[in-house]
Amino acid sequence: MSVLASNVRPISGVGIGLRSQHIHEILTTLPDLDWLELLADNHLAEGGQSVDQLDSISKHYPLTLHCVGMSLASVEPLDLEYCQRIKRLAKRVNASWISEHLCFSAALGVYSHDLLPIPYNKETLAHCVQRVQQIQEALGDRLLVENVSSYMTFKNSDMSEISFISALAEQADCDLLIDVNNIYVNQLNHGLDGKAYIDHLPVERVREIHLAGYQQQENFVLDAHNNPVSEPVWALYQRLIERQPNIPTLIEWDNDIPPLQVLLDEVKKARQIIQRVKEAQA
Amino acid sequence: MKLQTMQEVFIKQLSQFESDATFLTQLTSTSSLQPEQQIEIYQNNVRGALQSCLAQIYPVCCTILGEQYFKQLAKGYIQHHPSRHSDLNGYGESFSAFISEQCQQRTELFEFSYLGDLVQLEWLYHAVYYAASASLFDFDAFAKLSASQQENSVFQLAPCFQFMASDFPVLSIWQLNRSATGEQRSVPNNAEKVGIFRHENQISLFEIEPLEVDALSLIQSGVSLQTLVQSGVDHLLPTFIQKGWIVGFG
Ligand SMILES: [Fe+2]
Repeated sequence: MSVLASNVRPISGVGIGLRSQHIHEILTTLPDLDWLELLADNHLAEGGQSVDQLDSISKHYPLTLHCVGMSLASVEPLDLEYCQRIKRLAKRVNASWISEHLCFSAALGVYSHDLLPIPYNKETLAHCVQRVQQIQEALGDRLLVENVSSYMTFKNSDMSEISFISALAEQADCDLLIDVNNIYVNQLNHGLDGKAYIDHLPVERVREIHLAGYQQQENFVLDAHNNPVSEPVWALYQRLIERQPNIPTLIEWDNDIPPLQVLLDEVKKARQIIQRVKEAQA
Repeated sequence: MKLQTMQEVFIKQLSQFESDATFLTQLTSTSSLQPEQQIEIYQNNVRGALQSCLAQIYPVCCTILGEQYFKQLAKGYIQHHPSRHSDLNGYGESFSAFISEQCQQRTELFEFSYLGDLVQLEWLYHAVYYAASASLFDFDAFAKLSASQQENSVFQLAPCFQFMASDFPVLSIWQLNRSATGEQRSVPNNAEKVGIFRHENQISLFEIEPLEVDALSLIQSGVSLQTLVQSGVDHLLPTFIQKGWIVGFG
């Protein structure tokens, strides 16, 4: 089904989310990374200094696109122009796939630039199924839908997050990007059972895993992407990898961005876990 | 509450920073978070993202005012200006007008009367940074036009070129605070007219002449070559084209 490019590169192993602070170093040192993920919304402008650099980056590493602007669950009409821009960027950098979050971000013409939660029930599910189908049609490719961290619980949620996201993937026939840190953040904030979540995932649809660090606030945890991956998240990650060791994994770090080496150390940790699991299963 | 109503009420609370009593009844308390706190977390996230966005677009203004004071001003702006752009880079264009207003209203800002213009300069810099590169002017196509077609032509400025006229030495102030070397340099007290142009990845800011501002303003307003001739500024066109400031005609 992919019309992104005829020669998309396969993604495997462990990569990092590309941030502007690291572009120069990556281009000059070409560190051992299996792939890189771009925050698509940062690269949609026609100019900007990143455009040429992206072309160089895409020569050295397979890339994927991660979006925040589709407002997937929004009841407002889908922004087809946005989808087209994403599609053009994907072609330009020869992206292997496109992902977006299971949330809405805009309503009444106001943009929150945040990942806003939705109640998990039949009405929302039917709406999201139709939206994902519409997005996949607009992109001409399968979409990876990512579970989000949330700080809100709705009375009219009568499905668990895992049953909702599984049903969505099945009914819309899309793929999943599972953010293990988001599962753990929801476990801490809402008492969700992280292990059961991992155990019930339709693992055959999980094409990518995200790992990141959270920040402890006074009475909740914030998915701040400003810390190393926490030990409980590594443990949940291993649990997921034990179900399917070949899912490409990405380290995300968005705030208080550290030297590249810190991210490379996280990559190493993820690789060691994959290695251990594979050896144990051999 | 239907999904549509829920989304609309939710977003209103994130643009007006007030909570809606009916919405709160739709939420359940968790062991650690009451409904009010749940909505507050999102309000803080949204405000924080827009505050950082403004600080990124307006670093010089932020340096001059200090981070804390800038944040507080930004908060006031955000309160009345929710984002209407899917692209965060489009947010904050009217910050200059807001700052000018604040400089007239707040006694502690009276001495910063230039700040509105400085903020405008930073916005133009931001716009130039993300704009498409300059394409080459098609001389051959222009030469093929008949004399009357040429006279009626209007010219297009490059997206990566911007200009402004200020009553203040806005470029000197920008340069002084941007480099932040701590060295004491005196700022001239004359009005400055500024051009901003990006060539490949290099953005340059420079002073331009009053007559150039007149010509550029006319071009920007879409007047024909004939009007430019009548206004006595057409002799500047070859230089504008050669510098890449004018990229097309129509
Ligand atoms: Fe993620």
